[in-house]
Amino acid sequence: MNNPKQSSIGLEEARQALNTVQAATQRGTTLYRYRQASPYFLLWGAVWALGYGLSDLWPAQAGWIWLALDGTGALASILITKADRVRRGSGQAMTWRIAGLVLALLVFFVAAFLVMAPQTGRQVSTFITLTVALAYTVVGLWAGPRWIVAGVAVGALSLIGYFHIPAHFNAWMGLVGGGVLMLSGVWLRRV
Amino acid sequence: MATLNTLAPGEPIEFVRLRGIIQATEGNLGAHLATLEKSGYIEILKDFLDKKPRTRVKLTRGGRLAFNEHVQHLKSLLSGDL
Repeated sequence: MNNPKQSSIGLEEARQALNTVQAATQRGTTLYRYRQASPYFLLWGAVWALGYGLSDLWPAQAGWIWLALDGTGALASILITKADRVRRGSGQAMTWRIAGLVLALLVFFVAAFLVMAPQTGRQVSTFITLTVALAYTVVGLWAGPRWIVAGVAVGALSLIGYFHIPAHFNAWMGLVGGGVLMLSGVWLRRV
Repeated sequence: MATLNTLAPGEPIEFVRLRGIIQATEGNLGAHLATLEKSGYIEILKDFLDKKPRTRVKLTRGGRLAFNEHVQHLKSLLSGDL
């Protein structure tokens, strides 16, 4: 790159150069965000696969299973954020944001279930899954289409499981829901 | 440099990933990076990860400054300030 102060280029050339820079910046930013999100998708895909799988085997213990796995997942998310922060040498803000997000989600779901009083565990699971699907889709409107694909896939598959496979809902969600999240995590790492 | 500029300051990116992002050939990107390194705009880091050679590229502070000045210069040209 020559010294920009000494360059003498025409307006059309400048416009093209700026367009190229903006396109490269947008693509780079989108892919960078995908890569940052990837470990969270992999982690929560594994949490879902384990949670739904174990709930299918021991339905009476589902509440405790999810409490333990969600707690572990939340802690692991905070640790991933912290490790990323140390690697990049950035401030603590993102760690606090993730902790705040976990707390906000917890309060939201407790409040929602108090108001709606769901009758079955399947309703609870599907509501949580649909909320997550909505969040991914909305984030995708800003952060890139791969989020939208993941959100729509998770939402659609959970509805299919809820309405068409009620007897094997947990197994379906563990295999397909967790699988989609983990596959999305791998996809987000790719260029 | 626009792609490198999207990373956090001091954060490197693997050569293979950078090549994929900007969709350049290995030779073309290598030559381009060599020129930028000679100018002090980027740093090329070579090491081993799991016994495999790894090449990473990092934008230097000077490189980031020069790039941002360049973009500013282009914007000024287009807005008629220059």
